[in-house]
Amino acid sequence: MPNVSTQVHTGTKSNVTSIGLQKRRESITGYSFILPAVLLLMLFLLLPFLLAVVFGFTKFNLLRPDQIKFTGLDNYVLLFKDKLFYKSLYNTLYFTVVVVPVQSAVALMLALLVNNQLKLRNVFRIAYFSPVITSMTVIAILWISLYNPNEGLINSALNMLGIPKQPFLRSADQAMNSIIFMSVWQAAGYQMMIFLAGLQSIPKDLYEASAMDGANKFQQLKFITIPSLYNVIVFVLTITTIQAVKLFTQPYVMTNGGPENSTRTLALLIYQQGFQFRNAGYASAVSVIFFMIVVLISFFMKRFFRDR
Amino acid sequence: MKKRKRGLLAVTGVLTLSLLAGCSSGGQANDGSAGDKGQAVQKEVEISYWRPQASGPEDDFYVRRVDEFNKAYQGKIKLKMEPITRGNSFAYEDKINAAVASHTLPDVVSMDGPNVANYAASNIIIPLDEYYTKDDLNDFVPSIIQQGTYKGKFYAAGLAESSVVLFYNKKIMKQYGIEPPTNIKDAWTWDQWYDVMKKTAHNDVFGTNMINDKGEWMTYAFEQMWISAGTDIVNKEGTKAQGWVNSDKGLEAASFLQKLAKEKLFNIDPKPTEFEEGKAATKLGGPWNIPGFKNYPDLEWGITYFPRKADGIVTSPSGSWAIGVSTDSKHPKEAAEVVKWMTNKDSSAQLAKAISMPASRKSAYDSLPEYNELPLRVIKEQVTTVSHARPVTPAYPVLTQKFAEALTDIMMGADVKESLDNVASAYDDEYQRNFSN
Repeated sequence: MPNVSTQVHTGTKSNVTSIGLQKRRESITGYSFILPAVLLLMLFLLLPFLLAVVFGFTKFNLLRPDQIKFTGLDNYVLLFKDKLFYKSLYNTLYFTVVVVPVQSAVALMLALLVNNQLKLRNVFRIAYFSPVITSMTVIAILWISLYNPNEGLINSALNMLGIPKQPFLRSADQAMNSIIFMSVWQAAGYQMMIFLAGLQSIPKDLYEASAMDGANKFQQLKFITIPSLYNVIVFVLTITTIQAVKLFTQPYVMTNGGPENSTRTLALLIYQQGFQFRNAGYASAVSVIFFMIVVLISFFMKRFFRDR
Repeated sequence: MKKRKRGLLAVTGVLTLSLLAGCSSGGQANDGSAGDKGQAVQKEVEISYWRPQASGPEDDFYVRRVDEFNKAYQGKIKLKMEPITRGNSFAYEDKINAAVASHTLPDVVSMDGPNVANYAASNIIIPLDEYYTKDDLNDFVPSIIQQGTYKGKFYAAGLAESSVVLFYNKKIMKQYGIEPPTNIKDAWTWDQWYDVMKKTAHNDVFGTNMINDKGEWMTYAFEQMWISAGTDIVNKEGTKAQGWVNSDKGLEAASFLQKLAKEKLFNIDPKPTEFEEGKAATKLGGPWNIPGFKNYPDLEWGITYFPRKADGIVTSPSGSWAIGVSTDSKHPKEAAEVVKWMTNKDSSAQLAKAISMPASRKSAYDSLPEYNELPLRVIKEQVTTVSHARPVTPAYPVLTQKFAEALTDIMMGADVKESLDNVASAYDDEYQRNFSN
């Protein structure tokens, strides 16, 4: 307030300074707006991460925080000799490599399906979207019974088709794929919503014009829809990848990493080492490596898409 | 975290002080001594207590006993109990771990028996020897003392005991002319049990139901098969698993379980009420299952002993939740009062009744005459004569996780030797790294 009054009384010369002042005040206001977010981000993101880096160089049992010991690179040496680490890394990457394209493709198809003038399209939209807003834990428990090797619904259905009962989650060969299938089913609705928003922002005249030029539906999809959605597709692929790499809830609830560690992911390994075995030091080392992998993946994805 | 705690402490401190000032606006309050107004001005000590969430009569028991405690100690100790969700696996333990790291453990804490050693070794619970008289300790059944003792000191008192027995469906047994043993000497061998399963399993009825959960249950129930075979999953000192869990006798026990699974004699993902609904001829279960049987009037059930190996000993699981005092407690004496109260004769008998679990105190059986006759007699016999506690080792969390994972894998068809070898090396590595010094 006082600034305003000085502005009135002084001449043009101080007007310049008052503009500078105004600018500075504005930037102070701006910073003060983002300050809480930045502080919280540092507190809950940066600080824990730095701590994890530090803990990664220590032997640190969660139940004995007073006996923390600096051990240098011991944890990393252990880690690179740990078969379970490689297995978890492989499982995580396998899940990501399969889920990202499949889930995005399914989502795009669903979006195309519900983006028409069907009378019941809202019913379908709700049907596809409802798994997304249901808790993953609930869905995982539901799918445990669907996948039940003896009396599960899926096995009953297979039975009627004359296909023998499958063990699903209870076999090392099928467990991960079973989790992939239910994960795609659960999450595709979310990406569908994003694609839907993208679809609806494509100008109708493009389709009309192409129709007049004699383009068929497939050509329209290939030359109009997909190119117009390019940015949306990049966004969806990126968030799906990051989500997929963090796979935890499904194996935690459904298989606890088994059978034979076929569904143990990096996130699950970190949890088990850190919280169940209380080896916080080792778990921190794994999470540092995990972090580097996620950064590398997003870096390469970004480059890959920027080059096009 | 610490700062916030200090802030909270300051706030509660100020509040307590102002309350006290209000009460004693007359004279100076001397510690404990009676003032001239005849009333001792004593600060009421608040004791916090965590236990895993239960349901029904068990919850009622806790609420009632805490109420009674607060009445009995009015003005001296105020007990505040907080039930914590346990979930299907290790959620309660996770919560304890987190609380240790942030120093937010309550004064009194419930813990599953096999965790006592780990908590004691990590210095997060204190020995209780000085708070118990010898006679008082001798009144506990032996397995409670065994479970609560680490390196010669008594750290945690068992709230109840437990056991695993073989329930059977009387109608199904009658249908096939099977007479389950009623004398501990005639307890079924694995092979006899296998024959019973083979006979009774058909269509949608399984020979047995034996998967409670795929976490602690696996170790709790099936370690006994190693013991019955004459070995164990770690050595007596708890320092080594190599040559124990994966010994020839151990491999035999695990192979037996795998055989049952391969022949589909039990359901690896059972409905919790499979046995109650008549879909399983037998069930490895505990006394805690009994109250639920009432909801199934068509079910006629009996109890027989935990099956043993042909040339091995009869044994059965034991162990229960125990209660101890955390190192963080500022009032260990008052906290110990709570521990003693929750495990005294009355509590022991009442909890035993509420959850139909065997009592942790010998004297409590005076008021539990039902344990003198079948079917509960089987449980009392097992608890008092043949039970074995789980390994007392600070590396128990790794042991039980890895063992449970391996057994689950084996039941799903994994290679027996390879799975058990993995348990042995994982446990030995962990022990070497963290507890050998």
